Amino acid sequence: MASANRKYTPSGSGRMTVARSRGALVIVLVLLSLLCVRFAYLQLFDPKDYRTQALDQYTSSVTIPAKRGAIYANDATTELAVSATVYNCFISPFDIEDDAQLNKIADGLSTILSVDRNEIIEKGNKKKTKYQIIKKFLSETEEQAVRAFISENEFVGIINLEETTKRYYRYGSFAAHLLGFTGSDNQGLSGLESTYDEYLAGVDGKSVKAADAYGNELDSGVGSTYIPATDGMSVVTTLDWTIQNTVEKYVRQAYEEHQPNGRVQCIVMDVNNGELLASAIYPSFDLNNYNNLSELYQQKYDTFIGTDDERSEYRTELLYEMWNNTNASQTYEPGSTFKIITSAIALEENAVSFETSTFNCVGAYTIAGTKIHCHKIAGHGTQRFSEALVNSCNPAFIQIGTAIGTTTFKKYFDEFGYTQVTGSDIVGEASSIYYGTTGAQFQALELAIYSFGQTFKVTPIQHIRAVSAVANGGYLVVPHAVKSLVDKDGNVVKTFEYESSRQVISTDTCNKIITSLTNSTKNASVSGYNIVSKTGTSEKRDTVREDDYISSCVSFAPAEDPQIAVLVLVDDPTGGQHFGSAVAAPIVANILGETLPHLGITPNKDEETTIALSEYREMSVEKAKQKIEELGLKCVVRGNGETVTEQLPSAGTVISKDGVVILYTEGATPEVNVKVPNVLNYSPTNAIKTILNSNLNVSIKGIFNNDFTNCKVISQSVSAGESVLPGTVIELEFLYEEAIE
Amino acid sequence: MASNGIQKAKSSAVAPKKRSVGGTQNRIYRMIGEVDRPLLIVVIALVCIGSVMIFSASYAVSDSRFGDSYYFARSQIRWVIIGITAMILLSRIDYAYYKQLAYLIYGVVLALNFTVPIFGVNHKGATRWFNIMGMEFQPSELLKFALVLAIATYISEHPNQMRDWKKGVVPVMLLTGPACLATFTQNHMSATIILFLLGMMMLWLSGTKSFYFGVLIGFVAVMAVFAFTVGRPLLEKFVPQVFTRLEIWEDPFAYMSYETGGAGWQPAQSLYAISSGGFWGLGLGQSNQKHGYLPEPQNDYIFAILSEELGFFGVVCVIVLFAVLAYRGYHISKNSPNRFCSLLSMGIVAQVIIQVMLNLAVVTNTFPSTGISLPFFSYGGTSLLILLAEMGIVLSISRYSFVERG
Repeated sequence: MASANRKYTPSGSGRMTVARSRGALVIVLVLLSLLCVRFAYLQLFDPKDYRTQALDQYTSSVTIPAKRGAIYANDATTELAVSATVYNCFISPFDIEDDAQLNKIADGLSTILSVDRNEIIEKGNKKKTKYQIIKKFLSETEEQAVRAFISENEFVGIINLEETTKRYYRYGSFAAHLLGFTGSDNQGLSGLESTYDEYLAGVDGKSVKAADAYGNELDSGVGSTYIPATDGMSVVTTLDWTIQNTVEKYVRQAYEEHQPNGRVQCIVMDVNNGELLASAIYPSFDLNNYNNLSELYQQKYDTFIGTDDERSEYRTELLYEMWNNTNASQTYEPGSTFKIITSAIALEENAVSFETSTFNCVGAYTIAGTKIHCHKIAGHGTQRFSEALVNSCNPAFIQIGTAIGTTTFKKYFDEFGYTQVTGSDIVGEASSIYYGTTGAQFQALELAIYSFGQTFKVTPIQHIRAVSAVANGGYLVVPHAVKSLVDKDGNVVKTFEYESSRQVISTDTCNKIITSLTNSTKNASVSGYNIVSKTGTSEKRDTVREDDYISSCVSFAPAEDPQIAVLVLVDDPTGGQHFGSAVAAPIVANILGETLPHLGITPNKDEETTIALSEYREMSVEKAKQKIEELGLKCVVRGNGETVTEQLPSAGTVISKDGVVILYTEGATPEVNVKVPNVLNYSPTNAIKTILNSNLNVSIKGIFNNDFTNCKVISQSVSAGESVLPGTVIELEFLYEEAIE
Repeated sequence: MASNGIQKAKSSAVAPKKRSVGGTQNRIYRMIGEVDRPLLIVVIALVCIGSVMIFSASYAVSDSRFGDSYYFARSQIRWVIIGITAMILLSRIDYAYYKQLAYLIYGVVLALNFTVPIFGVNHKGATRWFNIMGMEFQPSELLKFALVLAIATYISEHPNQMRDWKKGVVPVMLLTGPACLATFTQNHMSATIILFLLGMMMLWLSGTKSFYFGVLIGFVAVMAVFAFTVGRPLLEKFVPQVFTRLEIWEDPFAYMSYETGGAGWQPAQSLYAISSGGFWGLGLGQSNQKHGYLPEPQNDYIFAILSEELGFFGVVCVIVLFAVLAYRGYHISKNSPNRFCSLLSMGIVAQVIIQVMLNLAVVTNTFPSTGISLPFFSYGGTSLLILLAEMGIVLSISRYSFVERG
């Protein structure tokens, strides 16, 4: 049947239709292929990155802020800086319906947050945006008020609070210049906050969520990621909370006493490893309000006269000045304190003999045609090396410097680290200014002047480092303020190691200098300890005014096994005194007097000069009197009774061995009837005698020997003319008017 | 097809229903009663994929609009069932009836189209729909079929006049012109373009002089170049809507925002969706763009969602299915018993393929955005019904085809 089919032959036009159909089919297949190519172009190559744009469109990314690490004192527990969770307030103008709503928002937020209303309106009109910060770091009350405002008016999604962290400095101005502060985005801007920012900051996390066009979360989960924040590590500083507080207390006190035009600065460093135990500058500022001028700067600003622009510029200038950590970022002429180093070089190189060399001083010395005066016009006469050092005799040091020679001096100047920054972790260390940087020639005259610490400038941190080398047996350490990093559980993550094996001078040389300078500066002395000190009074040669000095004192203790070095400098004191020995040395003594016991360094057991009183009440007068006089104390009896009913000072009071005890018997009672005599400016002997004669007791602040001369009372704990109980202990403070710079 | 020894049998509407058996190899047998199975499979496959995609693309928008994720899907499935039934029924009906009714159908449908602007319902500023007992349908869908049918009838009745301008070309244009005018008055640009292309397609198949097409293509090319070069300021001045449309086409991303009218939003989101797909896609149902970003994801831009979910792989699969559909259309046409069948089947398949190509060109922003639905995929019940019915007619023709015995 099939074979019987007749053949169908399309007519001419029919064949044409088939041919045309085939043509159309070919065109269709070609066009469909081209469409495939188009799809391939979009889907496989995506050259315009539509995929990312799409992803951006349906995902919203929320930053999960990393918590900034804390800054601890050297005990790793005292928090100096911590970050706390607070909230920022922002609005989403995109979601604001109309002007009426915006006005309501502006009214509400400007009242709650004390933000300018127009500013809110302006931000709210950026209608395409979804994120306009209104205020950062809301206080707790502000935060709660905003929350209430949101829920009252159903502004969810329009007014938003985002979590962030704010830096808090527990002790405000504590080591402010050294610690530094963070900016509004929690980035470290200055000080240790800046140096260790990479460790402290941590890494912000991110939460990406996919949402549909109406803001509902998509459960498909495509594009959603959650990267948790990595909290920053905490920094353990080398700062000792107690020492820093002590230093700050005395630096402030010194500022008030000496009214310097500049600042009072102090560094306390561990001589053996370069750890900074304290670093203080006064006037300071409050780290929690670092953008506010502190009181003294505010006073300067208030008295400034100028246009608004000039005033704002001046304010900025003052802020930078206030923040400046001049312990590291400003140079000064070390003056006579540098003689320690000159001595070290000379002894190390055997340029002079410690035992046999003598140096003559006639009040001036002429070198290379220039006459240089000694501070003692009459001259020191012939001195051995250690005498010249203690006398701080410039002519002697000119001779010592000349004996060293320029080449050797330069070599040691470099080795003591004066030509380079110390490599500490303190930001903004200044470069020193010396022959190498000024381009000035360095010959006999220049060397002579360098020998007593003038015409070159170094940073305090460089200087205390060099002096520490003399203290620790000759090793140059790297000053630093951070010793380790710890994670949030307190485990040590990283310990910072600093090179301290470079020996600049021999231990023998160090010992000779220590021997010479031990307790040589009487104002820097501390009872029970041997202190090695050198004071300096350097002329500020770059100021217009004459008689512009920096009074400084550098000390280390105890002399037997030096542990800590202290450098104090008072920039241009105006309180009448300007000698380093009178201005800076007492500050050092005060600091060391509290710091050495705190560090567990026990005082030497000298011959007892004080005595703690026993209980004499209920004893018979006769027996009590006998016992008191056995101790070498003076005994005064009031009343005619048989037994002692009252004693002054009371039992337990510590008085000097030549003190007085007043015993009362029946019928006699203690009366506030002793007028304190004036002993200010008295010599020690006269002062003590005067007070004892008034039936009062004396205690002496600092070290005191009867053979100290050129010494006078500068303060008495109870003012003259006041009435006190008999036997009251009056504390006296002496100042030695040493004939040295 | 195979070269030598091909024998073809003349078909007949009254052919025996029994399948012939035996015979020598490479003989051609009439297979009356058997529809073209590959075409049927392709159509069913497309309808199935389309239905799945309708659900995937629409559930989010259904849910937000009606609170019922299945709203669109359920409605579409209902129409799929009706449509398949119609297809099977029509595949059983002798095509010869259509030829007899061709001009009548054309006239009625044309009339319907002209009255749509008066009696129709308005959606988004265009009046293209009739509402009959709650069901909306676009008479322009029927018009495409009616036009193909009318032209095929004319050509098959005047097989030897087609190379003649007056007796061949002009009558076809007289049929095409009013159809285009009718949809133009509905402000239905895409339908006008499709009708015009269909008219040209039929003219091409009629075997008229290639020269005319050369002139036409040349004219279109010159106009296109003109529109993009010197004519551009003129466009801006005299037909700003066309000008804006071209601007949006060039950079839809610049017209996404509310301020710029948002006309670039849909093509831009479509590009986002397609590009997001990559090679394997995000996975069925995993589109993000359908969640309110790409508007009306179940309609004209459904293929963008398919691209996003099934990736380049899925795209190629679907395009291959359409290519097979085109090929089967050609095959059926080539083996059809007469000129009318040949033209009608080719015309119907061409209508589907033209829409497919235009739609894919629009979703990839290869062609300016215009409302062209994707056959078998886009949501729309009556449209699917008409489409499946047309497939039924092609299948009906295929029953009378000659096929090679393998």
